[in-house]
Amino acid sequence: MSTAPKQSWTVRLREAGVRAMPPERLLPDGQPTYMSSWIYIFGVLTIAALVVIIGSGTILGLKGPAWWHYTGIGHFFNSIHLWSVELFFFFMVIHLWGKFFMAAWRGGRSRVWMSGAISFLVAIAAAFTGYVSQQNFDSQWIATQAKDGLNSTGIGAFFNVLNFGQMYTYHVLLLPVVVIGLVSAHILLVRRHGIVPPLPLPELGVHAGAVAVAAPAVDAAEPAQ
Amino acid sequence: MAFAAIINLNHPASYVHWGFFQMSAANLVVIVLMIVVFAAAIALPFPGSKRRRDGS
Repeated sequence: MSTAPKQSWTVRLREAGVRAMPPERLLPDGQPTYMSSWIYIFGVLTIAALVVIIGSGTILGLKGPAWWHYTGIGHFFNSIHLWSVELFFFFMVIHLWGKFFMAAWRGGRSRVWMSGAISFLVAIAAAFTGYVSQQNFDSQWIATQAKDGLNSTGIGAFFNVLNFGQMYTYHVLLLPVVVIGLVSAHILLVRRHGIVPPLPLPELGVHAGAVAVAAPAVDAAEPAQ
Repeated sequence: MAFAAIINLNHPASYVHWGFFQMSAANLVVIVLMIVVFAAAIALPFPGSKRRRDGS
């Protein structure tokens, strides 16, 4: 196929990528039948909310605080940004409950679970820095209330909630990069391991290990709709 | 704005107290809504799932 030497880092990287994520896993023809349940839609709803958050946040960042405070269209995008965050956490918590009660770390999916759990924690920090970046009395109130609690932990030495510039950088650059990176890793891991099957039903004689392991998305596939 | 016209939001938040437990009414409403949606997501049939189970 290629005449490139085997020791080339690009070849090694490509081969490792294909080994870790075969194309038929990355973009499968279908999904297992057990995915036909409403509880399985909350992950993608969370992603949809995240897309709206990033889109509305980009517009807010480009236009600036005077725009989002003093113009009608600015208020509109400010509200879109707020309510997409509300929905993001709403859907993510239901997704978390659903995956917790079906023990979604089964079948070698511990990294899927951990990447999701850490995404949740980082998203809380991202939301918090957003609340203190509003540039209004609300953000001043939240920041002054929060500073004592945060300072008591010692984090105030390098994370100063009264410093707008610092909080804004965390909110529009650092934490979104981490959230997007973790969510991307989470999605890729879900593709790699397949969606977790429901818990086994003892009355059907199905035991946990068999169901949890035999869950690659490409094996139990049905045609996509 | 339409929602604000229905409910007057121009006052401090309402809180519920049960002994040591304290929470804003708004947070309580959101949590109850999440529980309702979670239960509905498990209980309600997904469109087309019955047809597939029947093998048709």
